[in-house]
Amino acid sequence: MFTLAEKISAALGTSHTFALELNEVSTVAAIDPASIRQTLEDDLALRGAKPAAAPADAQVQVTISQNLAGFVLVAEIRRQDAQQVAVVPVATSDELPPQPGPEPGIQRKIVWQQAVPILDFLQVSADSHRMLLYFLEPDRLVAYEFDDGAQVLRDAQPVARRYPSRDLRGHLIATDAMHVSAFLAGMRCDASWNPSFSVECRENAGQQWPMGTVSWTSSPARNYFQGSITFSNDLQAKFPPFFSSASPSPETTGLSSSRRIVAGLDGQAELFVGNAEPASNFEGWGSDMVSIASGCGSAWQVLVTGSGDWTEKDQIQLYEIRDRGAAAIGEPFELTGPILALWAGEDGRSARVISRNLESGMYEASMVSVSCSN
Amino acid sequence: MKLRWSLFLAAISIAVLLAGGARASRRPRYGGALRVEIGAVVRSLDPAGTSPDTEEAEARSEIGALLYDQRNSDGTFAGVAGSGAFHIAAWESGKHLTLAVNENYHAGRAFLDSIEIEMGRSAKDRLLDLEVGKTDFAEIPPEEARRTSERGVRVSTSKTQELVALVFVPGRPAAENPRVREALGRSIDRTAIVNFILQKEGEPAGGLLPQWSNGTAFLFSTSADAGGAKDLWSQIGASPRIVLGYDSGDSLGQAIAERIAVNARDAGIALSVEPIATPAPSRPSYDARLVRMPMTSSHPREALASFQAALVPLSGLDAVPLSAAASSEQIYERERSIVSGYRVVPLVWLPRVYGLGARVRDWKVPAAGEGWPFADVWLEQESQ
Repeated sequence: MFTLAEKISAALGTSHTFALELNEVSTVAAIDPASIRQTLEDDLALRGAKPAAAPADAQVQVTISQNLAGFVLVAEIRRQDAQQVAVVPVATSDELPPQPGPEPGIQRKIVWQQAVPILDFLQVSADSHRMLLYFLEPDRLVAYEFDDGAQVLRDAQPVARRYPSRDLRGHLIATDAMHVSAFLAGMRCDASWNPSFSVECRENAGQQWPMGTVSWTSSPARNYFQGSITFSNDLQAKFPPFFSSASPSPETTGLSSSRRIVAGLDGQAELFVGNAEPASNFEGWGSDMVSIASGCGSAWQVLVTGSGDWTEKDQIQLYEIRDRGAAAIGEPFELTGPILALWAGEDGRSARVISRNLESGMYEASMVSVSCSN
Repeated sequence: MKLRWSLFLAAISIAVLLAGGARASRRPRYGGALRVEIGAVVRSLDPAGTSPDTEEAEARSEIGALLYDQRNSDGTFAGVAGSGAFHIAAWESGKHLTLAVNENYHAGRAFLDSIEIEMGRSAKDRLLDLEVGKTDFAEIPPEEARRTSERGVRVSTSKTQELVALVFVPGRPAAENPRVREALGRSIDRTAIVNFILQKEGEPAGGLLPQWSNGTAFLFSTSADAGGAKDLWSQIGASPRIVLGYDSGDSLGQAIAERIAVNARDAGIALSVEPIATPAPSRPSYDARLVRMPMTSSHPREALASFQAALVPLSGLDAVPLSAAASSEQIYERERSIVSGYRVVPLVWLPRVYGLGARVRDWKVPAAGEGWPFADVWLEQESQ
């Protein structure tokens, strides 16, 4: 605003009074015209120019406009026969657009936002004061350390990729706060603090990605898993290739982990109950799902992303799986952009979500959990 | 707590357990052939070749962007065909092109297996094939966007990114008379062109850049001034007859030219329209012509520099190159200096309109200067 006043003042020259008119051509300007008028008149008054009703020495028309880079103020200064135009960018509030309130059952807490894509993230407590945040990006692993909520350290180390992909997927697991492993594009990268942050990458020979008590076999140059799931006793179960999969926790549901839903490449979510043929399939589910132990009831519950594609908003819906059916619980939780990754939280009671906010273009890392209080 | 949870459970909706039907997915799936129809007849894919036909030149540029990974500083393609996301699998000059995916593309394999491009398809045939699901992708003339959408075809529209302008031919007597230029410029009803010819798919243009680019388009008047045009015309001694040319294959250009003739007549200006053959004659018989200029970049400075470079030889404008660090004010001033002499009369800005098949996913409408984003598009599996 100061710059605009400066430019207008220069254009006013010897004019002592001006008539100010304010217009808007931008339909979504998050700018208050009244405050612009006031600030501008104050700034110009400091330079000796006074607002006046017509006839004034000069007419100043200020328009709130928008160009490729953002909002701009365009001032047209007319004095006798001369016309001059001044354009200055306007800094608008950096605050995020308000997030939709938590829908009954599902709550979301945004942990981080950044412009660089995030494949996965982990939030690990080192002790009662210190917390470490790890972000797996396509080319590096970034670590932040927080002490009582204040960031005290940031480090980043490159990660290697064996294969390129247009839908790159990555997964992080933590042994403890100081040791995490990243799985992506045919590689396994182990990170540790010894004492500085270091990352060592090697080819992931079996393409196994640990997923809780089992591991999935990735297709390193693609965005899906090959369909074989390996249990801790080295036994393998075969399913069709899938984008994601979920099985019940025997501890919380009393169900056998031989039950499994897979989100297939054909867009079908299929429930398998110990047989090679699916027992049922569920319509309208997206590509990503995780089991969640919400503590609300004892049924097997699954969080599922919406269908659509990455140009659209997304949602998370909670389902209960009973017998061979799936029942949607409550309203879906809406997000302002597509969910790019959905991984089970370390505690089994939450899920890690990476999404892209289509309004801001930022990648958002958030934790999603289910509340029983509704 | 338990009671409330039970009540909540009572409100659940039971998911339908059915096989078949529409298949939903969000994460991209690999495979499939994208069927594309274009109006242009592309006779050569030689990156060094040129074409006087604007439609063919644009199609070659789109195809080249799929075949080549890099460009030279002048915008031409660099390296070998197939270094991009796709390579040529089959090529029948002027008729059909099959592109196959480059499995080893450094930026990641495209999701599609192949792209089948049918050339020389008329706008009418393209629309019909979109309607019956015979094609997955076709560009649609902007004036057909509304009708196409009403017929149930999925339509994707870009921001306005092509300028239609009237350019006076230097050296022609009518063009060298500033009053003639101004009278004709003032007589044109741009809003009527947008509302009736473009069916509201476009915006009246008073400057060279659309509002979204530099944010100053609103400073240029776009309203018609038939009275002012009439007065100016009456001040011209021996009123010349103006001949307005348009590209012979451009039906939109013809409709706009004919509309301008109506406006001119209302202002008492004698104007006739005639098609311009391709390639354009070296000694033109027309005083002004319609030109269509796609923006080569979203960035206002780069877009204006490319417009200026195209307009200088056409209009005889005397314009120095735009500074690389030109500010918004300087860009506006340059626009104003170009249009104030009425050698170039901006008329309308057009969007690009695409018709898409139902199975096309992750389609992101290309920004000005960007090619078809087929490396990121994928195909939904059809119902069985």
